[in-house]
Amino acid sequence: MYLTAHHVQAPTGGAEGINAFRYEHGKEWDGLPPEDIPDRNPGRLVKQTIVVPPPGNYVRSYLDVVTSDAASPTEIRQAFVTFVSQVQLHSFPWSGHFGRVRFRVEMDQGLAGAWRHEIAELYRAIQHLVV
Amino acid sequence: MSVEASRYRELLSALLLERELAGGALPDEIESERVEALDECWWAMTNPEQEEIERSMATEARIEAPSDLGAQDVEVEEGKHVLPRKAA
Repeated sequence: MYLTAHHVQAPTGGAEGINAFRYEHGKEWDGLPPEDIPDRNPGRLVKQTIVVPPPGNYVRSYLDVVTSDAASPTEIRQAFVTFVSQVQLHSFPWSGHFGRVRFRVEMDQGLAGAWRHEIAELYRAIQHLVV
Repeated sequence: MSVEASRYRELLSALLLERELAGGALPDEIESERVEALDECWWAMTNPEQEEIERSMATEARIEAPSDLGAQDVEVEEGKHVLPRKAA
């Protein structure tokens, strides 16, 4: 499963919002999913929530989550909190994993001053797609 | 950094993020547990370790980030195997 949330800004008008996407692979992995997910193998898009319609919006921040299709919201949330505590002193982009969940986070300078609030907003957007 | 200092940083990070994920505040019982664990770590640290933690907390908001990610989003139909963003 590949979950991603994008904080986007429309190129005209400047409308901003968070779009979120859920892709599935129809497979389970005991450990971490293969490295080619999501860049070469995003999976099949099964659900999305759109606030600012694509295409062509600027991506100002994103959160990528890769794990098994059957991973529970609790497993993903606990892994996310631990991941952030491990990387929070580093420059963006952040990438890493905890347990069998892989994460990637990036944001622009304008959002990085309130990074904790931003990643919580991104996380909440994908949380709705995990239930 | 000592074990206690590392643990303190992890606990504090988790508490602050969980508050944000909860929309601002955690239930009192959970908040009390987390703060109690933080206190235990804090008082197990030496003065220099406490000062180091305070210094790093004062600067943590200034995380380096690019001015522009150089990415834009892509329209994807459900059922398709296409990434929803690409390099601009």
